[in-house]
Amino acid sequence: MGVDTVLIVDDDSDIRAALEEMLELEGFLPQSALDGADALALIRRGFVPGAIVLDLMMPVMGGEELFRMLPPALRERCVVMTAGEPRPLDGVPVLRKPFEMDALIRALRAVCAARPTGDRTQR
Amino acid sequence: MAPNPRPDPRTALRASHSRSRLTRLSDGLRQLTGTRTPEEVIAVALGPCVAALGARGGALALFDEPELELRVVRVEGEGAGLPRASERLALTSPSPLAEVARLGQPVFHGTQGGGGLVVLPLPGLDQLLGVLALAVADLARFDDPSERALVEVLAQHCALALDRARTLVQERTLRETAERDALLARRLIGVMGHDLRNPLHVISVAAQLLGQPRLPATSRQRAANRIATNVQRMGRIIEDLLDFTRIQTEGQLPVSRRPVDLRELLRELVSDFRMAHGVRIGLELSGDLEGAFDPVRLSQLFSNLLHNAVRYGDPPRPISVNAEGFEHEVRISVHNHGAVIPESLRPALFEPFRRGPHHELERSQRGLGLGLFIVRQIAVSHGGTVEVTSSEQEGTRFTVALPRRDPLRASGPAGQAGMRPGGG
Repeated sequence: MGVDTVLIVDDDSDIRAALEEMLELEGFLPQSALDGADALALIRRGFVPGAIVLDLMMPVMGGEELFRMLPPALRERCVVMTAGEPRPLDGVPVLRKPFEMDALIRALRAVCAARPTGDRTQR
Repeated sequence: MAPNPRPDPRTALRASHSRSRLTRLSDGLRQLTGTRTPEEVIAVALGPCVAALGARGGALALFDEPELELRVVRVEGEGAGLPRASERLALTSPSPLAEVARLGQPVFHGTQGGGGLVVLPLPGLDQLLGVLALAVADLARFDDPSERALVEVLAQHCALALDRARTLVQERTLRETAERDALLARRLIGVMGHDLRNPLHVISVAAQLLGQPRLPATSRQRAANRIATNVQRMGRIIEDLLDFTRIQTEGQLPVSRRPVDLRELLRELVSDFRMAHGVRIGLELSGDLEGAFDPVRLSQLFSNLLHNAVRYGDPPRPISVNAEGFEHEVRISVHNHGAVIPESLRPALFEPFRRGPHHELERSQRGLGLGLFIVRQIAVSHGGTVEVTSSEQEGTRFTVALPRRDPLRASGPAGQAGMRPGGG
């Protein structure tokens, strides 16, 4: 059965850990990155996430900068979360912390459903 | 009045001197209009303006706090009767400068060999600011009313320029304070957004996890722990923000002193830190460490310094705390090995919302940038100081010096130098 991988990009270890547990429980396969640079390194090594949850404010490479550096196909798989003022980012769904997990799950399912079929990690 | 057909050659010479003085004076006045600070006005008054009047030297003295005193702010050149730089003259002193300051009228004071001292009041818009003294070789020249008028005009212009420069400096200070306040307000809003929303979000996700019936017991425990640590994290942020606001509005942190033995306080704090962070901390205590302090605030101060040492230290190498009692004060230092604090960052280290350069620190490990600001405020509220040294060889050391007892409170902030309240 195909499982959707989700790349969580946040510099807060507690947030990464809590989101990972929640997403696992919802049937996703989460993978975490510490910041934009870390996420980009993962993607350049060949990791293709089914969806990306990214925080906007991070010290090494912020979410906005990472977003601009992503290939267009991956940009469409992003869900942004922010603790500050929500800034619109090319039609990407934005969630303001603290948000309901249901809202994130719905956004991730929508992103995954929009993807071409067959593009799923085989468990 | 009929023109004199055969002018006296001495009169002609004086007239020619007067004209050339007038030319140089107008040059001096032009330079006065370009001045921006009181120091620049004083430099022009004693440089080009004094030279224009053909004086050998000059001195400028301003009213200082306490107001019954003149302070000589600058002396140029030399001449009999000129005061020394930085000299203070009581208004009751027999000096011609004090006499002019008392009476507000010029004095032409003869010295030996026909020379003399011309002392002029410096009338600002609202009050007398001080006096200008000129050492001249030929005092008789000032028998001529036009010569007197010339020097008085010069003094008036210097005084007005000084008044204007002081206003400019005051306005600049006000503007800078307003800009600084606006910047702090923006940072404060930023902090409210990010630094509080992140732990709030962790609590929110953990609470939602706990609501899941399928959650395994280990995850349940982790979620509960996460809620507890993030509640503490938010609590610390709120405490720091409250302290920051208190310092901004009240000027300092309230301190309630009572007899405290710092040995006990430091032993307890260090032992808590060793347990909570699993780090090695050496503690050295010597001398009398008792005094009247605010124990809650001092715990906060040393806890902030220890947090910093843990955050920025080199983990395998121990942190050390050293406290030493002297006759009137105690000195406590917190030392860690690890990256040097760059020289360029040191002046701003104790300013609010300054975080260390270690961006790679986990968000949950990073402070608001208020820790050292609060450290300094607590030290200052105790009448003490805090200093930092940092080098590759010696590591980083914060040293706090605290007077054992409440020192006599200094009277309010020093007033504007040279301003004299009341009329002139």
